[in-house]
Amino acid sequence: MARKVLSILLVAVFIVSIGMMGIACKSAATATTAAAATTAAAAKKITIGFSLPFIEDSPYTFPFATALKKEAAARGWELVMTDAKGDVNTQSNQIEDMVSKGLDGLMIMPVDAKGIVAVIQKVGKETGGKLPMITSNVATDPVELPELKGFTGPNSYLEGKLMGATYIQIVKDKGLKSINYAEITGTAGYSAAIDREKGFDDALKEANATDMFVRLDIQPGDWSPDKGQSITENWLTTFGDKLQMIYSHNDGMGIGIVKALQNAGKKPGDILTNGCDGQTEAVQFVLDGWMTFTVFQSPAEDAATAMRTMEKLLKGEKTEYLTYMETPIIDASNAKEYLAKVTEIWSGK
Amino acid sequence: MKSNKQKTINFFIDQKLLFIIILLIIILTVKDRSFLTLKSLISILDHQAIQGILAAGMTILLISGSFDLSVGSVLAISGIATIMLQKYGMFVSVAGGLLVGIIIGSINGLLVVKGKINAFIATLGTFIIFRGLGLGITGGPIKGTIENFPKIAQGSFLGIPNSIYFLVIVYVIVWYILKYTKFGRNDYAIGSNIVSAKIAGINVNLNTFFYFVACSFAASIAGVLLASKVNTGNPVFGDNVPMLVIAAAVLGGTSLFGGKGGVIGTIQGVIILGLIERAMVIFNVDTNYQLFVRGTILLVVIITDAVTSNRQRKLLAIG
Repeated sequence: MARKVLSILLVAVFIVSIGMMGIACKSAATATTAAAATTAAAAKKITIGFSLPFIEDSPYTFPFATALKKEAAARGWELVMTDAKGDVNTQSNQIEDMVSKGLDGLMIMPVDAKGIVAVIQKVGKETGGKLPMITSNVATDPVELPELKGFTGPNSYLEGKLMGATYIQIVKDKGLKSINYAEITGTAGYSAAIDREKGFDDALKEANATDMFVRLDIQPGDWSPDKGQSITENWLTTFGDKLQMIYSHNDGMGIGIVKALQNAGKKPGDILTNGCDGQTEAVQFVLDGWMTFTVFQSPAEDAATAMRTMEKLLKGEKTEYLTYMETPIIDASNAKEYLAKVTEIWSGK
Repeated sequence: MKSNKQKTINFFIDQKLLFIIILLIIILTVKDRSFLTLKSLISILDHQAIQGILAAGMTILLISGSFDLSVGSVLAISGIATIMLQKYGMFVSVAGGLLVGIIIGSINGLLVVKGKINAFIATLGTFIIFRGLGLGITGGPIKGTIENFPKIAQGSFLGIPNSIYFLVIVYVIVWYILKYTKFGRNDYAIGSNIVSAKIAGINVNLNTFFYFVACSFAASIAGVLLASKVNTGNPVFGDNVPMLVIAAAVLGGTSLFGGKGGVIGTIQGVIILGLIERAMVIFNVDTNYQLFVRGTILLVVIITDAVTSNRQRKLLAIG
């Protein structure tokens, strides 16, 4: 008897879950149908799809998604977003699903720069090249594809180079002949991590500073504050006073690094470190002297740049293939000005 | 003798999965008329093919009372092996990928059967080790180099995507094994009551070993297919895979406790998961709620299984 009850319960919960989906879906949908019914010129709403690589565990994609919704609403577009949970197969499937639903424009933040090429080519063929597609924040590999109309976002390679150049200047200003550093990278295999490492190394090469910077170790921190902290603790034990600098690929890990330094009784500036993204906590650390700099990469600006480019494409205007957003350095000289700005951006309002 | 009313109720409950599938299709069609096309329905199977093949292998193992957390790594490593071997030609490339599954499955089997390590820990261990190995060897995504390789997964025959053919073939084979071979019947016996199975003369260790191999082999088929679909090998593939695959099997009626289930249920579970994913897009579910919906469904599935299994065990004890 109980088994039967449970089976019926299972079916009931399914129905409820699907009902919840209906409620959870954009309430704008019901509002639009009502409005469309009353408006004589019920022109079909422009529908834009955005394929996100992941949304949990990422302080970046969350405000990015919020900004996308705002930008879409401001333009009166319907926005369909998918979350690929970090899996390129899921992302490929979701892209196909969105396209079959009917889109006027498609934007993709690839989980995997190489793996996403196949589905982009497939969709390009299926839509006969009529659907404008761009990549956002993460470019494909190769960056230029005939099926894509462009890429917008930060240039992780240039960010890496900028960070390298900034460190080189700091070391020169301090009058040091050489500096021992350790590098903590983003998740191994992800394009942003690969690019920020390469950019940094190339900056050293171009400034003939490869002898000056002695790399003691390099570890993946997976963009996570916890890993940043535990790896730094290990380094402090292993290298002791030999460690003078830690190059971090992002704020998340940078924040963990600072926590480890604080716990170890270090003072701000004992060990040079940095962040990248320009999160509120990181900018505060720059003000307090724990971080020498971070890089302003506003998820809101990132989203806005993508939407602006899509708007141009939908109007039929010509655009450059590559649209990089500005990613300036935030250091002691301008941290105060940036603090209020970043607080608003990263709180996701 | 059961009344006709009782029989009808029983029938509907037994077919509850099919019922749910039809219900979901109706709901999706109401929301989006263009959903009910052959192309659309076929695309659901196409998208679920890789997960489906993984689930078939996992079903065999689940029935015996074990499970395998390393399938995500097998998926990734077989893909990597396939791509790395491409310079030796298509045959070596694919064979190499499949061999990887057999090797890892054997390792899992040995750890559990000979090493007497419990399945959770053993396969978690291999998951981590092989993930790390993949990362170390490749350092990131690697691209395929044989021109016709993507056609394996991306091509279609008679209008149906190739991956569906692979899915069907795997399911028919696994169905046959479970229903008509001694290997398959032993599976249920071992899962229901390992002591009785031993007394009945079944070589539990040998059979269990091969169930692990079968599960990983299926995972490597899925891995080669995935590598073909995206034409890359990447150590980070398959992160979320074990949970979803086990969920599909359990949803389909295969118990985590072993002894019951089958691939007919599993494929329905896989289809339901696929329909739900599609529903997220059609209903444009706010990304913040997607995790909640998926999580709720998974939780319900697991709880229902746990309770109904205990019921069954109590019944067996009485009977």
